[in-house]
Order: sequence, then structure tokens, then C-alpha cells
Amino acid sequence: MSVDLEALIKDVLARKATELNLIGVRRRPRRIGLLWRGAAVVATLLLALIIGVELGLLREQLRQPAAVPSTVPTAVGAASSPSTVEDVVRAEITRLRPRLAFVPWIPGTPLTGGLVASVHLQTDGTAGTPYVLIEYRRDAGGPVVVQVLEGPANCCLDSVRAGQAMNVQITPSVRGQYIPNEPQFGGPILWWDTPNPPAYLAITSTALDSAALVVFARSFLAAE
Amino acid sequence: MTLRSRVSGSSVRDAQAGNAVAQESVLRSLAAALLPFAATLAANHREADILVGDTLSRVYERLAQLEDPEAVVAWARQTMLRLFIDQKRRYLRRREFSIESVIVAAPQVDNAAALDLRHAVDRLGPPERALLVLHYWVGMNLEECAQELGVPLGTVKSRLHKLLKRLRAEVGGQ
Repeated sequence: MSVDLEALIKDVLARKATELNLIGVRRRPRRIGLLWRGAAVVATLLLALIIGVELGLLREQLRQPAAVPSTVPTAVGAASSPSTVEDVVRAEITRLRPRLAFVPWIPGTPLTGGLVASVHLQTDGTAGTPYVLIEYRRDAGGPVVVQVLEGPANCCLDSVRAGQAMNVQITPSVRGQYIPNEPQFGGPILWWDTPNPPAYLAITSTALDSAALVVFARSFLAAE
Repeated sequence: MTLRSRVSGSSVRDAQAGNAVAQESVLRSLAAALLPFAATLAANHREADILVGDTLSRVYERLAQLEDPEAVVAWARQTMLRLFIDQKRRYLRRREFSIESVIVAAPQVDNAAALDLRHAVDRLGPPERALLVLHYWVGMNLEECAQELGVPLGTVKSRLHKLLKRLRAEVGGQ
């Protein structure tokens, strides 16, 4: 077998170089003063006391026989809770699908690096059309770093001013529009209409550059 | 040369004078410039994140000593290279900065040789991996590599020869 080793090395290193995208730089918090440290110790002790009391009460309750058969509904998927971010997104989109007027699409490329994902149903105020909103955050309460909006085909961004957007080839037959918004305005947007099954998809991010958005966009597959 | 990001000399001078906004801006720009370099050097994204964080911490600590503010990116890259090669991670215990990154996996390669090569590269020792990255990704010639790595030119040549032989064997070439 003949391999152009040097070309292959360059290709492998170039791929490695583009895989990571910077989200943020964090400075280690300054050391807290003695007073605050004391307050933190007291607060921790109080918390431990409260938890201890609560656990005691819970144990007491568990000792009591159940008054009614356990027919309390559980959360969807609780028995086999999804483990990865992609699993969460896939499970949630599958759950929401019966409420949608279009076939939703599921991202195939893993967005990792400690991100958490949440999937919401959003309803258009005038037409009542339900949309899917996937939000990726660094942590549960943090700002959204990547957002995906899915709706019926031709639903949304169709009136961008000429010259504002750039054509981007998502697949050989699908062309998207890239709008280079600055991060302070929510970051760049990549949107496109899928032909089969038809849907509108848009990704916006303060963390991903144009190349990363396209890689992410290319990974979407229609929910089966 | 792949480290294209520029950090302006004037913002570095402001940062050296203690301007907190300039310091943050310089470190953020350096992080963006260094992350691709760290990603090629490191075997995984966690290692790359730590490497950038360690480098930023050291750069922050010694920024005032930098004589040529225009050369801050090259200086930071060299700092990172030294930290990577000595692998001591002295800054782990007192790291001032950390970064967070997100992975967007490149499209799957359909080439088995590329996959084998990637695994082989990730298994190389730090000096060999650093040489590979400097020569094939940064685009340095062998003399520049020798200077950057602080070893004689002959060492770089023989190291690269052995390295290519080994990698060729790993991907099944002759």
C-alpha cells in the first residue's frame, strides 16, 4: 500500500487544530478573607444540619407503609435516563415530535466540552405554529452558547437584506445562508431549508466560528 | 505559519501597565490563537484546555517582562511548547486562568490510514509530537524547528527520520 505520509500528517494535524472552539477564559477567583471563610464554614455546618434533619424525616416516611399503590407518574425516560448530551437532545425531540407539524432534525455531531442541552417547544404567537428550540449552555444556569431553532419550511428568516448574508453549501443539494452577526448581537447565524423532509433550521452561536457551524449543520439527520 | 491571530502591541503595552480590560482582551486573544496549536499538540481536548490555561497563567505572570510587545503570540507559543515538552505542569497547582472549549468533531474520515495515523500521533512522546506539529502544521523548516526545540539540527533530522519510519509502519505503508 502506498500512502503519501506527509500529506496525511498535515491533514490529521489540520483536523485536530479545527476541532476545538474557544468558549471563554476564566480567572481563578481570589482567595477569600478570614471572615468570609468563617462564614462559609458556619453556612456549611448549617446546611449539613438541615440535610441531616431532612434525611431523618425521609427515613421516617419510608418506614410508613404506602397508603396507596404507587401509581405516581414518572418523568419520561426516567427508567433509562439518557447519559450524553446527544442522547438528551434525541430523546426530547422524539418526545416532542407528535406535537409538531414538521419532521424535526437531530444533530449528529457531538458538541461536548461540558455543555448541557435543553430542548423546548416554542409557539409562534400569531400562527400558533410550534417550533423546537435546542439550547446548549456551559452550565445549567449559564448563558446559551449554541442555539438551534427548528420550524416548518420557509417559516422564518427569509427577509435578510441583500449583501448581509453569504451562501454556504450545507450538502451538495442544500444551500444555507450565513449571517455574520457579532457575538454581542448573539453571534453568527446559519440557516437553511431542508428539502426532504421539509423544515427550517437555524443555528446561532457565540462560541462556534463559521467552519464549526457548517460542520455542525452538516451533521443534522431527520428524526425517524 | 498557522498562528495567524494578531494581538496588537498597544493592547499588550496597556496590559503591561496594569490595565485590567487590556489584560483580559490580550489573554482572550492569546487563548483563541493558541487553542489550535494546543489541539494539535495534545492527545485530547482536556489536555489541550489545560495546556492553554497553564500557558495563559505563565504569560500573565511574566507579561511585564516581555520586551517586544509585538512578539507576544510567538512568545506565548514558545511558552506553551516548553510547558508541553517538559510535561511537569508546574502551574497545575497555581493556575490563574483556565479556559473552556467546545468540540465540534470534524467530519468522519473515510480513510483508515488517517485514523491509524491519528492514533499513532496521539501516542507519540511530547518531543516527537512537538517536532511533527512545528514542521508539518506550523510550517517551520528543520533549522527553525531545532531552534524552537533547543536541540541541534542533526538531532532534529534523525528524530524526524525515525519518526516518519515509525509512522509509516503504523499506517501500513512501506
